[in-house]
Amino acid sequence: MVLTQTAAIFVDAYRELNARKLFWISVILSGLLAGVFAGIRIDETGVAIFGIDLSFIPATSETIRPDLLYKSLFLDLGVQYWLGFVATILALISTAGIFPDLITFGAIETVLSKPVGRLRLFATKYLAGLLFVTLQVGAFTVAAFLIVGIRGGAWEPRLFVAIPLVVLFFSYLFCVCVLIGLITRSTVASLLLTLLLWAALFIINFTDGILVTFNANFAIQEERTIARIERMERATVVQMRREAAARGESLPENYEPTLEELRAANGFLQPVDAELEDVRSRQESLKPWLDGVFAAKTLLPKTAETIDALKRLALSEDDLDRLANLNPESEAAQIRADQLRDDAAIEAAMRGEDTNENDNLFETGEAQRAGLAAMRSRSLIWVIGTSLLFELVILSIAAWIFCRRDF
Amino acid sequence: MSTAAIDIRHAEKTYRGKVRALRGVQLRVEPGEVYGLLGPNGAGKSTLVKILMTMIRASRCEGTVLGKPVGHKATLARVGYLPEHHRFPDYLTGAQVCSFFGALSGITRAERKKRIGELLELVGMTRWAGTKIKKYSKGMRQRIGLAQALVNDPDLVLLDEPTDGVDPVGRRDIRGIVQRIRDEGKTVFVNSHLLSELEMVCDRVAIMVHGQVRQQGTLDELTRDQRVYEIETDRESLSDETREVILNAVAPGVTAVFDGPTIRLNDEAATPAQPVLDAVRARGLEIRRCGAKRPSLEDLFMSAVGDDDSPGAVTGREPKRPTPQPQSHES
Repeated sequence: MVLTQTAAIFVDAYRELNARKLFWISVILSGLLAGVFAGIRIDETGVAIFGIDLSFIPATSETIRPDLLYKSLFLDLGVQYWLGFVATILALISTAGIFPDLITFGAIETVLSKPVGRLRLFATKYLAGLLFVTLQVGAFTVAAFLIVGIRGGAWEPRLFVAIPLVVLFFSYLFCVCVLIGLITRSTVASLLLTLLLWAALFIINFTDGILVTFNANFAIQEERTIARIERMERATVVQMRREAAARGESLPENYEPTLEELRAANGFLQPVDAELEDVRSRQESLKPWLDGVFAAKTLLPKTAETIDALKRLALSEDDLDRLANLNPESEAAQIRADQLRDDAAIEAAMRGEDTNENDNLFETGEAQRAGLAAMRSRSLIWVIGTSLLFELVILSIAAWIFCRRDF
Repeated sequence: MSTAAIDIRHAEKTYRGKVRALRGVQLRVEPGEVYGLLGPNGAGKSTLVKILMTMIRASRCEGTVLGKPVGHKATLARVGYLPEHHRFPDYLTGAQVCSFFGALSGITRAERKKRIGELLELVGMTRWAGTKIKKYSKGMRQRIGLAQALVNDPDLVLLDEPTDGVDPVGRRDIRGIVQRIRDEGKTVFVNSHLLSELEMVCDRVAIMVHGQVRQQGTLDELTRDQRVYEIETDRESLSDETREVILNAVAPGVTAVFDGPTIRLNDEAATPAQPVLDAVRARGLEIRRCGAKRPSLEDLFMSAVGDDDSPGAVTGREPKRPTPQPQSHES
């Protein structure tokens, strides 16, 4: 009996989706996008799409493996922008009405008059709502798997991680949509408020990204300034020994001047101390904001990070590194920064200066890379676990309302 | 005594905002009968039905539906329900609606296939079985609604305004279906405003006003004290002298009431009326019509409701007392 009822609800959900034009529009758009991916070719001469050379793209099969290109296209364009944004909006539009329609006066009576428990009805309807995205992502991922395999020559089953992750990402929003739909009984209200929440999550995530990047920037600055002070202090000790020798005196082998003595001997140290203090002070003033945003994110679903987790799960470390080094500009910046650090650091220690100190970490991309690394260092358990906890709380409230309400 | 199809006691429901929709309803529906529930808007009829169908949680309710406590979900597999103003999914065909709700009742695919064909035939919708609901007229939707209510071959069928929006031919068909269901030994509970419809099909009725059942029983039981013998004369009103003669002719224990040209005796039998008929003729009056008369369901309803048809349950105020009856002249 339970199976018959559950199957009926799922079949009904499919018929409902099937009746909505947006479902088929999404399917067609997914197919077109997969067709575009399949039409891309990369060889030693460059990149072409449907036989048209894209000479403005400075990539060949020697700079990037074909399978990595297709994987990157799938993850960056297909998942992040198509499934994770456009298709999600279409899915929300299509599914926002599921619960408001269910509890409409005249519709809910017939359903509740059947021997189906309200909680089971709620759960089955909710899962049926996720069917939309599951079908979309499933079809698109199968297409991507075939394209990467046939065109790229690598059969990568890890791409199928996209199905649960994108459905998970959608479920964060859908649960909110369901709750608002049950409270307001309005499809429009549930859709708009869910989109508003999504925008708020984007802003919070964006703010978090900026704060983490600034924090990483300050951490690098602090590290460099400390290293610079240490070099300056070592140079100062050498200078003190030289001066003592010049006076005919000799300092003990284990002589370690106090900080005050060092600052008295080297006037350049105090401004650098002040710089270190300034960096630390800025980092300290950033901390409450950083902690606050982190706490807020812990309580809220992490939509962007869940989608980003796909890269961490679907690609190997090696592939991730390769993709990160694809940007020639950032690669050049890295080399320049390294050279500056190596060559200039010796002179800076001799002079009590550091030519690297004025490098803008944002211009060299170091801050962004460090920020991204810091964001990605957050565990998947935190990213997905706390998001699922949020979903569980929202769904519990929604289920409680559905089960307790008089219809 | 067999288990009642519906047996509820002390059913109470107070909505948020302290609106008292039900005030201790007691109701018993025997198996195999057609039971009619009538009452004005806001009387609490729908609330009562929704409590039975687990859509609303009663503030207090004791009793059973098909022998199981009210609210027992599994029992609903043996119950069919046609809600008032139902809305079935527009994207489904008539046959799919029946199949979907049949599946929710736990009916297997094979059973559904067999039942749906029969039911569509029964409600006269075979021809439009494959047409989407959105193309149906109100009457067609009502017929499909009736079919889905019967798809699980229920022991108890609750019909909320089953003839709402249906043309006279459709109403006759639905009455026929209700009678057929009863003939199959099932219990039918009908909630309707259409008193004449109920009168034609119901074995017993309950009149509900302001969240309480005012009267309950068979039409015979309910009208027992209100059956009369009426004699209509050719005069606009009877003179005092004529009235005196007639009152003298009335048999002991019988009451006569004068209402314009009509003399009304509180005994429907013809025998006690004979002396009165003789007296009328003796006074030279012409008798236009005479015979036993019992009140219609509408008369009963109006009597129970009085002029207080305001939605008391909505406003939550106490019910008014029934309007006093016209003065009578008794012997």
